Amino acid sequence: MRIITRTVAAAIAVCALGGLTAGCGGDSGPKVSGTADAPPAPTSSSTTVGSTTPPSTRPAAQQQAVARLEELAVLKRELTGLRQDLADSGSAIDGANVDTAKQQEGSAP
Amino acid sequence: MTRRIVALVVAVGALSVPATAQALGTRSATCKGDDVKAKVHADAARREATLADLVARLQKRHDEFDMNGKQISTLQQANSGIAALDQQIANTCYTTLAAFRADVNKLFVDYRVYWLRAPQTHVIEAADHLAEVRTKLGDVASKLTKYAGADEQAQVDLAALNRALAVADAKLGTVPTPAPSIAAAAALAPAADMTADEAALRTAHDDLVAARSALETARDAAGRVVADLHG
Repeated sequence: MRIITRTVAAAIAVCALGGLTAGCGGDSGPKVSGTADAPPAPTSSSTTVGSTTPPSTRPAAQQQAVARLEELAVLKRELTGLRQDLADSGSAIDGANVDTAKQQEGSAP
Repeated sequence: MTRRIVALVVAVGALSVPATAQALGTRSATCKGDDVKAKVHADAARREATLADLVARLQKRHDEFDMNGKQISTLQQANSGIAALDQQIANTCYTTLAAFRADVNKLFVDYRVYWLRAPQTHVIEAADHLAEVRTKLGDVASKLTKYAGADEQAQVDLAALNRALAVADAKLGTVPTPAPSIAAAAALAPAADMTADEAALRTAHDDLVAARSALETARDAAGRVVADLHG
């Protein structure tokens, strides 16, 4: 990180001192934001629709779709939990079988 | 060394059967039933442990149908009654075998711990479990109804979900009212002739099995609706 910072600083210094070179601005050289000869180049992320747009500025329909997907994911997890709950009821239902239970009763000696 | 260990084991054994062993040594040979009092005590102790376990199982539950408190009280009373009967049998010198048998018989007929109380308590416990699942699936169904909209496949699966929930309700009841078979099983009392009790317990058990199956069907249908909508 420190090396990159130094490299960028050196390039700015070269542009300022020596005027335009192939490496300062233009299409062929590396893009260096903030140099005197070119405005900051737009990054790809800033032009992608939706990815960096704050939630408050998203269209309402898009917000609803996201909320819906999130709630469906929650419901999916709840259903997985219910599978375990149903399995847990198994031992109680087995214990409610009178024909099995009465065999333990025995009789007076 | 071995003799000492044996003597110790014998001494501990004598202490663990209250009054019975002492009675054997000190009472006259005319006391009837003394030779099987240790077995009677073991039967009583096993029942007390089972009743305590049943109480613990119900105490963990949420009591969706408001049946647990009454059953816990019934089980605790049975436990106290059995403990008192155990002491009474151990401390009594029965002059006739018939008198001894009459008291011992109470341990079985008056309480019906395994023939009635255990399956009855499990009916209540299972109904509680399933009612909790039913409530959660009802909440899921409501949310899915909101999202299903015009999605045809989601509507088909949602209809299957609601049909399965209706089947479960018919077998289990709707909180806070249990189905008639569940309520009938919960109200049973020990009887000399257990034919009617058995029939009621079997009906309740069959309904619980059917309710559970319906809830599994509902859960699977809900999973399909989620998949339909999630894409």
